[in-house]
Amino acid sequence: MREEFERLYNTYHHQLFQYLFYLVRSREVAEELVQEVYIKVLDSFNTFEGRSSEKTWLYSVAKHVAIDWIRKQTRKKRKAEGKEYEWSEKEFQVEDKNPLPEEIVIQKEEVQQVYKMLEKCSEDQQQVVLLRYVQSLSISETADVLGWTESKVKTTQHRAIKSLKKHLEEGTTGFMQEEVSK
Amino acid sequence: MSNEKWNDSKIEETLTKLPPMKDKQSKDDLFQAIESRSKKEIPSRFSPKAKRPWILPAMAAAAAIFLMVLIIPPFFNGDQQFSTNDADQNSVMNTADVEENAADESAEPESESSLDGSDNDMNDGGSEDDENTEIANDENDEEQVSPEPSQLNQVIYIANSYVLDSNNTGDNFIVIEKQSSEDEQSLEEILMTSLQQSDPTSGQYLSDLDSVKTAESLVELHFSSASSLESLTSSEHEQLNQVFQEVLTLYGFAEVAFESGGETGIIFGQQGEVTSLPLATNNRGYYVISDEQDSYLISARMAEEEMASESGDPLNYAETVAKMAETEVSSDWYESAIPSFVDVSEVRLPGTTAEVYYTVSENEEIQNEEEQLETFFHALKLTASPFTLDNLQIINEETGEVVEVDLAE
Repeated sequence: MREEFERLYNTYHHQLFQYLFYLVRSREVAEELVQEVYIKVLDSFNTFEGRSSEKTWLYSVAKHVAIDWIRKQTRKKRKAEGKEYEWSEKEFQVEDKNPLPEEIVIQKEEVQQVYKMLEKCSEDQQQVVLLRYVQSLSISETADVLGWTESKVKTTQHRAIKSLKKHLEEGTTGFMQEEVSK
Repeated sequence: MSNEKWNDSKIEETLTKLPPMKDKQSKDDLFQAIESRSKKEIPSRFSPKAKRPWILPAMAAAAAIFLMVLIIPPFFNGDQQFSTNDADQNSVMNTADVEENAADESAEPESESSLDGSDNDMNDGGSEDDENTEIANDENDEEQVSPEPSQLNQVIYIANSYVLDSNNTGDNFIVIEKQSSEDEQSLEEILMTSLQQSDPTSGQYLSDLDSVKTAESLVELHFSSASSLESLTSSEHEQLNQVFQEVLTLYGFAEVAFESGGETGIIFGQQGEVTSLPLATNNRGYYVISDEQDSYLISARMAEEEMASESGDPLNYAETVAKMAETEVSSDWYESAIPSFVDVSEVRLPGTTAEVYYTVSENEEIQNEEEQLETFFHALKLTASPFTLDNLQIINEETGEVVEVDLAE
């Protein structure tokens, strides 16, 4: 087990952690979830059939672990609010009230804005953006991780950029209006 | 703040500049944490939970009540699914449901809050119709309710995989096909048939489905073995998940739970052990895909149609139907489920009933009018499924003909 862990860690750990971090937007949670990913992967490593590459398989497991966590948080939030049904497509948008991570704070303002607005995109759009632009996966690898066709990846990527643009423009307008009113 | 306008390439470039995030755990610390969690949490790959002592008596009580439900309905006249005068019968069915749910402690009492949610949802579009309600009811007195039982309530919905070849990309979508049911079947039997015939897996793994149970907004799938869904490929896992999302929501469920070999949970492909999955109850509308032989319905969710208003709120039923009617085919592979010769003039939402008023254009030469109207009715019915509406009335304004669908059954 240790040997396998060492190999996976040395090859993929940085990417996996980064992917989880950007999905859940919390270092502590990402640290916990990455452990869960290794447990699942090491436990089922012998049954991995190799129909996809090892890399995309790992991402795929990480995706499920993160989504499970996000949905559990949403359910908890709904229960706390006394709602069982969520009538909007905003499940993925558990509002991030945490301060920006230090790694983001020291970046240019554009980067901070993109990080903030990415959260407003749908679950699918966030997944594609993270895999394509942050993780630099190819369209084919992204399709493999998400279990989609390449065409769906392209369409979702296109829509994600459009959506991000809309949110960024609205964000900029809102900020300028605030400035004027001051 | 930069005033420079955002464009696609600037956004793409900025995305690649999102900084790397490094794990602060050391490799050794991480391995120790994994080892310790692994020992605590997962002694084997799948660790079913201990059987609860009340489960057998509860199941026996549920079975007895289920038998009563099967025996009692023949003593009542009329078609329980379609008649407008079946309140008594429905109340018998509802009472049985309540008793069954009381016996089954595993069912979470979700309906009350879901009703609250839907009330709010419906009020968004329905409040302005308060005045109209009386008028609509007066009008209804004169309308002829279709005397024949509608085919709408006697169909099984099957999910099919539809591959879009028009751009040679091989896009794969889950579409809904309607299949008529000759025998009167229980909801559980319908669900079983529906799922097994929708099975997208190469190994037909849903044949391991032993039984289906329902409890309010929860549907339980009981498999013969914990490994029934273990061997799914990544795409099969995704497709099966989509089938659950697309099919089970049509029957009004908000969550699907799994049992295997009498224990809670199942290994769901690479996702590992899963006890339940939330179902996307937020679809808004259905569209049509037609090929040479048949037509299928595709959900707005699957077709990635807009499902929210400009303010970001999900569309209510009236808004959804309006959206379905006005859809300009942005994509050439699906079209509106509202035929070109049909004009939806109004949608009213008095209480928990939806009334859709339509007229048929006489100027057009219409082919397959009946088939197209039937598809239109089905689309309206399925569109109503995420809302907790009790009734749907589809009213031809000119002839007064009413197709009435009991959504609360």
